[in-house]
Amino acid sequence: MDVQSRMPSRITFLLYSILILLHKGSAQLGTPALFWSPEKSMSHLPEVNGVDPVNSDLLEKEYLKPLMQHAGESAVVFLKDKLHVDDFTKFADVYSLDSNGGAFKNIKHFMDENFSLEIPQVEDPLKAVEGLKLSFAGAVHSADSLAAVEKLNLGPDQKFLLIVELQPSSDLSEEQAIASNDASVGEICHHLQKRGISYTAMFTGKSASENQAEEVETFSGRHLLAEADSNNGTFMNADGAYLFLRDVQVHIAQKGKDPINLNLTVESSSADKSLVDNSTALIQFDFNDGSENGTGSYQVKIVFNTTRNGDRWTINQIRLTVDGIAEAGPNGTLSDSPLRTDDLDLVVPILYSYHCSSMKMYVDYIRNKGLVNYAGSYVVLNGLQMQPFNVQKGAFFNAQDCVGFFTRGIWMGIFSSLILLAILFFGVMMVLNLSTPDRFDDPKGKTITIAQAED
Amino acid sequence: MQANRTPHGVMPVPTEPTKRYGTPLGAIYGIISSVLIFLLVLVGIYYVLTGKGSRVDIGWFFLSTSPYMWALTGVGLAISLSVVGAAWGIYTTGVSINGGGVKAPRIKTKNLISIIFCEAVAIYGIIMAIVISTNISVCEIALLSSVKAIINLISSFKMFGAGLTVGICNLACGICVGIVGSGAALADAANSTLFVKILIIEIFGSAIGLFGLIIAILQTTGAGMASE
Repeated sequence: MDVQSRMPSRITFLLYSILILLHKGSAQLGTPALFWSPEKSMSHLPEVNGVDPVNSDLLEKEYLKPLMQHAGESAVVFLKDKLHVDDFTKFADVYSLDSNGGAFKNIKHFMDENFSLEIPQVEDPLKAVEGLKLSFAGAVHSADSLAAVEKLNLGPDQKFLLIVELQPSSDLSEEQAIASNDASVGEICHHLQKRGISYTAMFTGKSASENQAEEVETFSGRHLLAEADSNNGTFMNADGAYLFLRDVQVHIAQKGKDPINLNLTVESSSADKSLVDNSTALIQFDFNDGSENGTGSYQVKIVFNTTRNGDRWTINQIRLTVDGIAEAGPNGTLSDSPLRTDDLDLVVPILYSYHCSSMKMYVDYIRNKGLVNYAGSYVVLNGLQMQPFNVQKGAFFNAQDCVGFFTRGIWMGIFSSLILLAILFFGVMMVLNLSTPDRFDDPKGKTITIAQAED
Repeated sequence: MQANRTPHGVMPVPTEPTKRYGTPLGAIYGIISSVLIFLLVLVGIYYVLTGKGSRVDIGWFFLSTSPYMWALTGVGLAISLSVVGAAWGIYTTGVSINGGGVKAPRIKTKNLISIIFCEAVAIYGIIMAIVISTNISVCEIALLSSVKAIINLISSFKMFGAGLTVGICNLACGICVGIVGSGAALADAANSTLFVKILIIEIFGSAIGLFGLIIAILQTTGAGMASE
């Protein structure tokens, strides 16, 4: 007989393998699925690689069918409305050595006492259960509490599939809801045991609730782990120049007044006023309905002044115009105000496009003294890609990204460190070359004595 | 590998340490340099084959890194490499004077002139370091017009070049004067009429340090950093 049970911390193991997934990013997580069976050994089922979620077809074919359909015994599926890895972390008392499972104590007891299997991540288990329902040869019952199960009058000789939908209780705290669902599971399983029914059980959730706040990394530049839903942007074809922009944020800081924050949306007609000719291109983005939470009306214009010569094209200057600022004094409005692009490498090889995931540029009040009142204002362009010249085959060509491999500071550090390392290596080499004079060493000869001359 | 200089009939005695401790140094340097070169070649091939060769931009590196890094590295190299040369020369000569002076104490005063030649090399270095560093001035880089920013870059590269020039020249000069001085001391100990003629060789050796100094001065003229 297989001794597969009796591992004292099954839930801890489940948690450990799930923890690997928590650092992976913000992808859609699945729900865990736990199986247990008093009679059926689970060692022949395929091993789960804890990193990838098991999709529902695989779940149905590899796990549900062998365990529940082809078996000569009944099957019970417990479906909690929302089950997430964190529920085990928080409520299953996993950090003490001989815990009894916390809010999951009945389930832990069943998994310890019987043959059991855990799958850390399952995508869409509901679909697999529906598939199982259709192909199950035997009666399919559904219930939602112990009373309903008792009413069903099940016996050990009939093969049945029982789907229990565990009720969510909205007025209980999460831990109490889990504990009450767990108690239902315990009652139903004991009831089945009392009736002498041998069964295989699965406990899973209909969906994963993301009740963990994800970290928000704030960096400007390239977001390599971009979520799928934030790739939407607007493509504009302005007079032969290919442009792509997701959104724009403008922050206007005025001395002595409250700052203004605008979130501008990009439409496909936003760049219609651009002018492109043979060697220069003035790319102009117009946003006419900028407003701050619905109040105020601002017209924002961002102009890229680009030229092409020879083997490169350059963004020479980027200028910002904001109309509609109330009480803009005579000391200057934001009209054709240049933005500081000192740190950006805006010289692009001729066939390439320029791309920047997040381009933050401050108003250049250092070189233009008239803009001192607006010092600290900036524009953030998200998801910009532009190719004003030499667009070939109707697509953007490779992009020169605003984020390089190393920053200039890193290169400076490497340069200085290499000098110091060279010094170290030479020093060590010279020290290792030192040797004591051993020409006249003769361990067997008599020791040398030097006559003391009177001085 | 040392030449076998034992006279005929005499049992050869090892002239360098016979026991080797640990892995041979040459093998370690070989391994490290091969690995580094391999990685560099791999990265270079990756960039070339994926059409991103223009991203390997040495010009961007020169233009973006702070001019102060170059200027101050030049100053540092001027003094440090000169001092290394002087030190090397002094210890080479000094050891010989110490050894030869045991049997021929008359050499010790005359041969101090070799030490002075080596020390002069260090003095060249410190003079140049001071001269180069007077060109460094503080400026608000954002306020400079593009012409002045270019002048800043030019002067920083000039300072780097000047420092490197004087440093490496003085390094070579110091080593040269040191080895010649060491030979002079031992020759003087054997035959005191030889010393004056050998001193001429040392003078020629010392002149090359002066060449480095002159060229470095030419490089630093007009290398003032533009301030606002």
